[in-house]
Amino acid sequence: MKKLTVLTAILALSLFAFQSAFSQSANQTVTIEVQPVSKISVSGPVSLVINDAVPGQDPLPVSSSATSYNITHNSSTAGKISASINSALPAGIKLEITMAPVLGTSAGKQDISSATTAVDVVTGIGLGKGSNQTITYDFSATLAAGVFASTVKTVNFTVTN
Amino acid sequence: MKTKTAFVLTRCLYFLVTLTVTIAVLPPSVVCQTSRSHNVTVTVNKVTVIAVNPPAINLDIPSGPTAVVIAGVDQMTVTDQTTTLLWGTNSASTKITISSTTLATPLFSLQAVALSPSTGSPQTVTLSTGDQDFITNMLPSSGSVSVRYTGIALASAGEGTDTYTVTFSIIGI
Repeated sequence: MKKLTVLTAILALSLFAFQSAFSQSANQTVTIEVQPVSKISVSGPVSLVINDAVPGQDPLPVSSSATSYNITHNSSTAGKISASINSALPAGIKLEITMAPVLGTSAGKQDISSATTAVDVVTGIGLGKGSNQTITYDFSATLAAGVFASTVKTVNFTVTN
Repeated sequence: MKTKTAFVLTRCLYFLVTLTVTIAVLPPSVVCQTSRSHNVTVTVNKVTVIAVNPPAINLDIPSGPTAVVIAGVDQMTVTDQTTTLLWGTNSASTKITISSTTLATPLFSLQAVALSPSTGSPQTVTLSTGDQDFITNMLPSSGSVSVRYTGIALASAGEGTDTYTVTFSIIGI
């Protein structure tokens, strides 16, 4: 009898709790947290071929502005873009890069021929986004460098705070 | 033998007398089965109840599994569908509204929509302080529905945290 009384009391309290969880309004806390974001994408690939020269001079250099980059940056800390190459080019062969300075300041033409350690190409990047921003490559070689067979190099771009 | 017979007769007589007296003092209803009645008033009031679960959720950019951040695009989004809204109503026509607390300088915006409720018409709402219709034209019913929140942030607005208290209200019309 005592057990039945306790069970009945528990059941009654449970029903009361269930009923009181429902009302004509209900609240929920929703938190949106936006952390620092730095994101870059690049188009490509690009091909650079030296195949002409003026007699008595080094081969004619070539340039390409066919590729571009996109960037999104929301950190209050200024960001930067740095570029590196997967393996150095031989002596006498030079690859340089210039990136349009959306949101920041361009470092100008940067030699990445042997930049296995990244070099800064855009600094002081602020809040916002940039799309279809031009990447310009300048490729040159000396006569002394000789012939350099077609070789694929990987240029890596990193955006950091 | 005569004594025994007298004893039995005496006992029978005693029983009959007792029975007669008992019948005489019983209430008439017990004996005569007279019917009685009274009025019973029954009422069903309008009932509208609502609950939401869980009590709190977080939307995270860019760490959330549904966060969308695209290089070259200012708008970043994140969604959450873990919220369940439960309701019960016996009103002929019911609606659920939604509102949120006022943030002094909100950095980001929040949208909400009920995903395929079993009754009524859902509305996609960008939360503000005023009540906005969330599900309209609901029939008498009880059930549950998933709520999808979308947090929208602009990279140009920077980083930070906004906390909303969202209120769901059920109104029987």
